[in-house]
Amino acid sequence: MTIVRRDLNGEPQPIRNFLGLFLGFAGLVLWLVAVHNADYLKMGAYGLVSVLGWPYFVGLAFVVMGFAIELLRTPLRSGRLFALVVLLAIFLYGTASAIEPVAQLTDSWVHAGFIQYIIQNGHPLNGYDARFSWPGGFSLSAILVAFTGQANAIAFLRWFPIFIELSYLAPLLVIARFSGVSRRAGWLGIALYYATNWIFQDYFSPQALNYLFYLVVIAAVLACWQPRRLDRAAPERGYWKERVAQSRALMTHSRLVGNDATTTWGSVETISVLGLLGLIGLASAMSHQLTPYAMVLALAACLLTRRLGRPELVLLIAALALGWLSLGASNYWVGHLNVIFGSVGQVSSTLTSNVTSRVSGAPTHLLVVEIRILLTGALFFLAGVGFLRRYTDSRALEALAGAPFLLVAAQSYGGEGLLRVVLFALPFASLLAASAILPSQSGTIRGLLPKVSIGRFAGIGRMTLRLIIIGVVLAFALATTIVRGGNDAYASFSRGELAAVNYAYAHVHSGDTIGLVNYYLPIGQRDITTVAVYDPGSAGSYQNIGQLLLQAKPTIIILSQSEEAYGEEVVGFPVGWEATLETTFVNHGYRIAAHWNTATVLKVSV
Amino acid sequence: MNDIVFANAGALGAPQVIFVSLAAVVTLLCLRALTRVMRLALSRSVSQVLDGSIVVLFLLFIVLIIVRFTTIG
Repeated sequence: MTIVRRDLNGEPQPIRNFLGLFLGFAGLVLWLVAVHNADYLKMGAYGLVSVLGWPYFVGLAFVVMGFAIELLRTPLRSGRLFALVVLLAIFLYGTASAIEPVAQLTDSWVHAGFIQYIIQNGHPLNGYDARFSWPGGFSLSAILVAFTGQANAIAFLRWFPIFIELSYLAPLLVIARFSGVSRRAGWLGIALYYATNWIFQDYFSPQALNYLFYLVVIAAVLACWQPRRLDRAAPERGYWKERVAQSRALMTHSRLVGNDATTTWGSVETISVLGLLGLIGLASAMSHQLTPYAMVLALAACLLTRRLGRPELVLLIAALALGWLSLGASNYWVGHLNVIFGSVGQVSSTLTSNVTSRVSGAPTHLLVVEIRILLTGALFFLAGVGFLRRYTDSRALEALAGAPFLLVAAQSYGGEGLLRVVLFALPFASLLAASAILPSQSGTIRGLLPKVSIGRFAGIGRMTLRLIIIGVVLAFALATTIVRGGNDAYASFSRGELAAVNYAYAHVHSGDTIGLVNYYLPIGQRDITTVAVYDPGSAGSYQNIGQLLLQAKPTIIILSQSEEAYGEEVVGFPVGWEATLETTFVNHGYRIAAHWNTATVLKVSV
Repeated sequence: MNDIVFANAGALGAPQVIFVSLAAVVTLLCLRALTRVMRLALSRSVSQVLDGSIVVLFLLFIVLIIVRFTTIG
């Protein structure tokens, strides 16, 4: 029996019309199987990927194949592409949440502790932590927690990454629609964004929220303003002379006051959107250290490339960010101004602290770090090819992809600046990378590489294109699966570890200290002013860590699987180092108060 | 008031001073955006005064912030 479906014109539609959707559905089923079969407690040194079975990888391949099939169909069906992109996001950002028993990353638990303090006291705690100097995101979360009737923010932590990543999809769709790339390249760019965003900044944090602000501001600007058509230089002058002449226009008065951008929106709409963007800029200035400056650079890039008609927006957000830094965040910088300005202009040392210092640890960890560097390099290489191939009316994408890198010259951001910069550039680099495969063929600015004409080989060309898309997206998605979950051996936590932390909080008194051998535990979610948490930091050897802890004399010491994995994988401690420390602690006045498969609580003997 | 401000240059970095300059910059920026978007007809001289005020106040705002950083940072 042949299964066919007739469309409105009575034409038979073979089942292969639904092949993309079918592959997506099959991928979803396989993802559910993979998640169901995964055993978190068997996680090895490679992290999440070590507990994923074949159904995950086959399912991921199905989703990518379905996406590639739908992407090259005529007519383009946005609903199906949307569903397949959501599935891709679920694979890459929902798997860890589905498999791991409690929320990842100590920082997300610490943020829950900050929010708990605001809920209980009605205001942030000045001088406690640098992050409290930008309390907007925490205050908003406290309102959300109270509004939903929760006792604390812990319920939001576990599934937050997939929730916020899917929230990014709305502004990403607008950016893709109005960035000047073709519709197909736009969808491919979004898929590439999700397939390459290994930078784990979507955990429960102000930066995740601010990244949404950042995308929304740029999406609104790109949707509102289009480049005014410029007078082209005479063709006989040659390409480079024409480009130089157009580049000179970058700094003209007309460009700087926004006259080179035009909008079809009405006055009321435009002023309303500007007002909202100003409010978002204010919210961002109060809730994150870095994002407002990235926003200013991105808006300046839009202004210079004729995609922003109101220069006031750039100055407004810059003024709000600087105003908050000087007034609202003075607790952070008073007495140690070099934290902000100490790394200005020191690009080389910033790059060293951001890259070189991270390439260390056990071979498994090194492999993960190297794949991260390769993955990022490959995406930006592809973006470079896209820059050379595409025809366009404005180089806004190139400017938006490049502008965040100016931040590296200003701030090392605690060794994470380059990561954040890559994240800010990622949506635009992804669209450029998509243009390497599906370049626009029209625009006043010509591509630097010759057009490739498929001609009478269109059939073979389409199949080749489809295979290229599958290969590129799948390779990136697999690499991201490996490297995004590559820290999970120590950055994710078991129920036993959470139980150990809860036990510790239940058995300490106000003024007591809980000791850790390193930072990797689900801790900090409560009692931030009454119970201190001490970890010796980078003490060199594990024997030094033991000595420092014994000197600090915490009431309780927690030893756990995640802490041990961090020592082995990143610091290079020998296998079993935590057992040696446990013996040391027991010989120096501590006793085992409670024990789980993955954690032990030691309490000082009275 | 003048005596208090000019008795100590560092007083220029006081929160109140910075807040007032920030409020002035924001107000003028909003006014400029409003007039341009609503296509209100301003004479050339008024436009120039508006633009000049924004530039001067923004630079003043930056200078005041630098004063604040250097005096209490």
